[in-house]
Amino acid sequence: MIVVFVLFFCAISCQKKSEKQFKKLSSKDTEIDFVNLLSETPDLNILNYLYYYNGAGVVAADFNNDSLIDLYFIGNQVADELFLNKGGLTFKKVTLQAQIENINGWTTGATHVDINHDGLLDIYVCKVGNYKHLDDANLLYINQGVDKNGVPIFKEDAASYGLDFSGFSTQAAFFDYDLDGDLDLYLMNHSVYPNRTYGKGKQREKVDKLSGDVLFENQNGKFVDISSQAGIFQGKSGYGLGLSVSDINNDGFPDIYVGNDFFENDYLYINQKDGTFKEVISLDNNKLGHTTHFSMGNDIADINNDGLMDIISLDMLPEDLETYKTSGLEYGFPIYQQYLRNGYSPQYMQNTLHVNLGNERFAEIAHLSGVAATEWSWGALLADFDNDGKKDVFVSNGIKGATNDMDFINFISNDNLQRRIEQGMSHADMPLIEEIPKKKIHNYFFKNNGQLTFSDVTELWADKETSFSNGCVYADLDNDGDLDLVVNNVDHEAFVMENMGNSNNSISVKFKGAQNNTFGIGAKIVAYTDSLKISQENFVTKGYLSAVPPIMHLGLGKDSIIDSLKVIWPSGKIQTQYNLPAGKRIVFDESTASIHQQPEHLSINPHFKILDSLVDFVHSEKPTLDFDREPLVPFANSNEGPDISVADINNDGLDDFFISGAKAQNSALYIQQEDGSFISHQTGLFDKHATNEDTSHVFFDANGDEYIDLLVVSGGNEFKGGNPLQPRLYLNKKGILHPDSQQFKNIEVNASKVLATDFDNDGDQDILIASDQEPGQYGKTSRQYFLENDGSGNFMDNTQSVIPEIEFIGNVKDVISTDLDSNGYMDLVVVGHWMSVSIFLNDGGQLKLQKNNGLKDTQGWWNTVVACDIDDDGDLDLICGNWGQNTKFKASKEKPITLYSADFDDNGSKEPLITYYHKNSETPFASKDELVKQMPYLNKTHLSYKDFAKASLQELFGQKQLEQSEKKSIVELASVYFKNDGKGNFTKHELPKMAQASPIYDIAAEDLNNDGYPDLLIVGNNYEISTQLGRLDAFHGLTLDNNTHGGFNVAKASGFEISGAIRTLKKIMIAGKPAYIVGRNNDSPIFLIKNQ
Amino acid sequence: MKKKLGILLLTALALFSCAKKQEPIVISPEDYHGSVDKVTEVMIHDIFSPPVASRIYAYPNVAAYEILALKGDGYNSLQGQVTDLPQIPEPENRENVNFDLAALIAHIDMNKRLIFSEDRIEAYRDSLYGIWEEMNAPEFEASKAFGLKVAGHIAAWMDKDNYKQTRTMPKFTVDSDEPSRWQPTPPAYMDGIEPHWSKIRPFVIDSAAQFKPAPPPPFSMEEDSDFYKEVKEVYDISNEITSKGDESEEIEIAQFWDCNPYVSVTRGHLMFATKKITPGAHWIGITKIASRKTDSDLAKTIYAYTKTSIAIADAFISCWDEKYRSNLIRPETLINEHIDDSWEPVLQTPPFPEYTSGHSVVSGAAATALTSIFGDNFAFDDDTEIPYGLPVRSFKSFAAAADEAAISRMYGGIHYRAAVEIGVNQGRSLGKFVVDHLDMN
Repeated sequence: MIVVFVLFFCAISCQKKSEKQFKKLSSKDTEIDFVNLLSETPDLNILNYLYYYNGAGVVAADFNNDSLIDLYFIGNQVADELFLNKGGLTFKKVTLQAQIENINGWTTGATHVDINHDGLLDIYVCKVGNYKHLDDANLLYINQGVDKNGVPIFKEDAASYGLDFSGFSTQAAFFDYDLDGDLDLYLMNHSVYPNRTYGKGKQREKVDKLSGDVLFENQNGKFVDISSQAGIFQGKSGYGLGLSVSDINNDGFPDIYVGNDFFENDYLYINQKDGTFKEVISLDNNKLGHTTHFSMGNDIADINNDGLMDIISLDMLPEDLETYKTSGLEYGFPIYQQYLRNGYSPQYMQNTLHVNLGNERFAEIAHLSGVAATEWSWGALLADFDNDGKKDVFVSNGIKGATNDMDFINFISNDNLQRRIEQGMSHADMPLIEEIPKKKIHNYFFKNNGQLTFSDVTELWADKETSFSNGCVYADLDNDGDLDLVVNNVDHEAFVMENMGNSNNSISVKFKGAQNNTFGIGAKIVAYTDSLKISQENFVTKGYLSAVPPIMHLGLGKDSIIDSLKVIWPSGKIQTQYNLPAGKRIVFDESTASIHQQPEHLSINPHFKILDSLVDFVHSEKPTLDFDREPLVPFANSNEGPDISVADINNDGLDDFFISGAKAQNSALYIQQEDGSFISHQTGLFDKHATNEDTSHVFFDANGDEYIDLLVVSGGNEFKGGNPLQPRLYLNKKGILHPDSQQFKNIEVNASKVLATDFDNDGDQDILIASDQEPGQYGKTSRQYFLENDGSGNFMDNTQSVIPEIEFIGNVKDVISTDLDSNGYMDLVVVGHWMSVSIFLNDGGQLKLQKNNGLKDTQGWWNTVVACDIDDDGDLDLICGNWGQNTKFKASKEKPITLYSADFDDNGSKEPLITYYHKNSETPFASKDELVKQMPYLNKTHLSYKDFAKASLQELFGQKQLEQSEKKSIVELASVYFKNDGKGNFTKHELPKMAQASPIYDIAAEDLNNDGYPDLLIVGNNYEISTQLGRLDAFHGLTLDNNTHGGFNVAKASGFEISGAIRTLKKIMIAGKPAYIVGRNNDSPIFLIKNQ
Repeated sequence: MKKKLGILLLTALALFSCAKKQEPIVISPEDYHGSVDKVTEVMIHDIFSPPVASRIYAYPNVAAYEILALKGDGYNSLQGQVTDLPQIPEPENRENVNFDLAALIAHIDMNKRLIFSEDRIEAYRDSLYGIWEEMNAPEFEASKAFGLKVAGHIAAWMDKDNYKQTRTMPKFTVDSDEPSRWQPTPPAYMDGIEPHWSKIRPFVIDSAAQFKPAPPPPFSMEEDSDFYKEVKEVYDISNEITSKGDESEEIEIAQFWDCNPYVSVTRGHLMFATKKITPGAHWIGITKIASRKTDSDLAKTIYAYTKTSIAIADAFISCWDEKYRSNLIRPETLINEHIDDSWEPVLQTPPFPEYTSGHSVVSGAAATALTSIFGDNFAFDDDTEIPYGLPVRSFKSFAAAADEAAISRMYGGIHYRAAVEIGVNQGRSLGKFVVDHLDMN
């Protein structure tokens, strides 16, 4: 009998296993037949109201306090509807009985609030008013309690509260911004003005009463506009579409994130705890780096369970290649720079995922994590759908009229349509709107894999149905311990998606707040289980124009007990419950909470203290010309500096340093004083060569006179030849540098690196000068130089006799010398772009390229290499900094990035055609617009964007032409370390994910925690890259702790916190203390003193 | 069964046509206008910038004209008069060739080479080929062979005009630190168009810089400077005429001569491009009007198109040479920055530097060429813009039309006074040089 039962049970559960996570329920069963039906009219359509296709929201909350979550759907044009949850995933439409009657005008978003703290949730509805014929005000439906049938009755009374705003509202969020115990309101509005020009960023500081956002303070039940004194931007440039509230910096005061469409920045308002906010994106574009450009919905939650809230914001980057190639793109780099200079922060067309690093610094890692491209997206929900303790991602998307289709813009929108629009549309013209391309797309699910990555599980978790989906919410509609989903659709029935659950555990938490904040909005919980630490906040405005219930749902994975669950109330009161079994529904009551506790402080002693710059030097780049000269390249090669070299040049026992200037900027020598300050030395000496872009230099004793001389090389892809490409030797005579006129006269090299080492053990220093490209010819291999010292400072080009194979090894970016094989002779490790990591072993006579060492197929965009013994096994391992994994580029041996150099258009000059793989198809990187400017013949065969998008590489450029091109490839983009087995074999290991978030430009290996193993300090970032790739700015100084068994962990709070495009990290002793100088491109250097 | 019937029908047709008498093929001026109109239409669809469009007009006309000159109707070959133009080959068998037909075929073939949407020209060509084939197959085949051969020769010459090489030359460098320097303008913020057009081989003028105009007033935003006064004048005129409303004469003039091949429009959330003919195309249209009004025969028609399109092409080279020499900022940028941040010009600012006004230079040159062909005080009704929803305007002479085209750019808010006044004179001097140096009949 028991056996039978077990078998039976197994049959059921096995069957259940094959089910998808979500099942879409039929409206026949749920009785939810709501359709956000749009009916274009001459008065109101996409041509005269720009957000006609943006969709509407949905509110999930228990309006009749029966512990079942009810649903309130917004209709843009059709009436809103209220559905009461009858249990068992069935609902009943009660709009009329509830006396809700929002049937006019244009409605957008809604949220819930207990405005009169009677324990009943009210509804605040956002509308467009004061626009054309639309004259409504926002609505506040106040819950009067239930009638005899259990139906809540509502009465509209926005005016009594001062909330009958009439303007262009998008969405609202109630929260206690000043922690005075009542709920204030942030009302996000949207501009409706055509965005013909991007204008000045400063226009955000002006006030537009209809489209500007408004912060209302709740003053005894009256909502008073305090936007101006609170520092809220209220300009007409704000196209607010996404709104989230969260305590981003864990200081107890809620902060606000506003996603703005079009040109305007997003806003991250940090609460200053004094009634005002500071908007940090416009103040400092390093903190978040870049944001979404065409920002739609956003959400904030802790995706990596580190107790810090992370931000996702949605944009419209197509995942589908054909859609991408037929859609409008960002401006090209030069014009984009112009736009930034008008007062904007960098924004790119992609979803962004800002991982919170603490101290209000964020790493944007959407590409790295796999959530960057989800088509024309509206609502983002971060929630644990599979109850494994990690927040997953749901994205709603699709649009009824995709107005960025390039073929439509250029070719399809015919004269007929244009003239009708000019003359004013009539009913008869409405079908013309039908010609606008529709983008009906499936919604996306991403499962959180941990380690900062997500997998697209759309097909695993749900049936892939296409739709125009907008507002979305999660809620446990059937109280079965998992989160169900509700999605409001344009022109289609709303989706109610039942979560089919799994064997993971969960718990839910409700709040009973103090008097004026009855639902505990803003309460934060921290739950600890065996394997998890989960942090969550009770803010309800979420999911684009929508609101979720004021209930926390926590997935617990296999853990069945919560060891402790702490609630931090907005008042600062804290209470904790211990040993809670999974499956429970817990209610926390603020009245029983203990009095205020101090929030815990991390008592980690950081390794570094940051000093204000000790010198007045600011590296200053001229605007990058690479994209003017070679519009097809993916990134510039003219932002290589500064380099920093450290030496004691006056033999006074103190470290001095030399820092290189960019084109048209003096390099500078700084002499350290006894007190650790630096003074500029021999300034006149470097004036003469200010023109040069100095890229690398080395202090070494060229002539054996015991004084350290200086060799400077220049490059930076700025000059084609002549003086600015000649190496310069400065001979040190008793602490004074004198330019030498004899050496290196015959060399002109676009140099990337200079190195001095005694290769032949003859007691003098020989020189290696590396070069990364022929100027102005992207990817073309340039020549490398080995120059042998005759002992008295005369250098001979002996490349051919000593290291013949290095001469055209590739586009070298970095070279180090070290004795890898312990034979007493210095070997070379060479890294660069479009080339493999290469080792040259020195046998005392020659240096020969090492073969069969495991580094054969490692072509990357390598910028730097460092050798150290990671695993304490007695040999040197190599740590190599690469491009990273945080762009749309992926590369492998099977699917490489390829550079084809050929004269495709037969005009006597070669074009660099760069391709990459998107899924399984190889496709050109440069946009059609850029390609046809270079090769107009492409328009003969592929004039329409669609033809171009569909064409294979061979169809576009010809099989023969491609075959005959000079080819280079990239098969590895990850930054890695190569483990040396001591016998000359290297095995690749990827650095942790966070180290892949940006290109690495320099690495320092040092044992920071005195455990005998080298830890790593990592710097990088690159701002001068194609706008199709965005801006790589995720590093803010990264410290990797050696885990002592051959790997690394990301260290927290190491004090190594530096932002910017960093090029070099150099050790120096300052006033007797070990320190680092950090060289930043186009910025001032930073000094870090090591705490001892 | 059906198939069989088809074959039978075909056979019957073939028999019929064989039996039919061969008629001589006559090419009328209207046939040539048709081919010019066709290439204009395709250019609008494909979107070519004004300088590139001028090149597309010139070469096919030269090809047709050279065939005509070979025919010997009193027109002289341009070989020796136009830079590096080689002698075109003689037909193999002169008697079999209908030169008029060959000229038109060469014109069509050159058009096809120059535009993108070849299928559109092919469809047009094939329908004509079908008619000619039927009318007189031997004559057609011989003329076609010759026409295409000449087109090949002209194309080989054309390919050496540096057009391809200029494609890979650097873009215009945007540098807003230099306050007088041109910057991309709203709403599309396009790159500066054709920064290296001065390196294109000219037809008649010695070099791109031969008609280098005097520089514009020195840049200064001091209120008493000449330059500032010109900026302010654009703003004031614009305000004055817009206050009068869309029906004002000045706005009508501005719109009539807009001739912008790509105007980016946003309505609500919808973006699209309004596409019109270029300034060169407008004057090609006037050439058609004048040819028709004078009942010009085919030879004179081709002559008129050729001379005018050469003058226009050289005018663009000369004008673009100056544009990217002075690199002057547009009124829209300065007015938004210094006077009124919400001001919009009546016309959309085209994407290249301000000085001198392209339409002014081209109009000056084209009007001079046309005057040399059709005489001064040639009054005409200009209906060129009707397909683009604009009215007919009447002019008492080509020169008067050119003056109006020039001043229209100020009304449009896209040029300062110096650019139009100096520009139209630059065009006239260039036009005179072209007219004086071409000995065509």
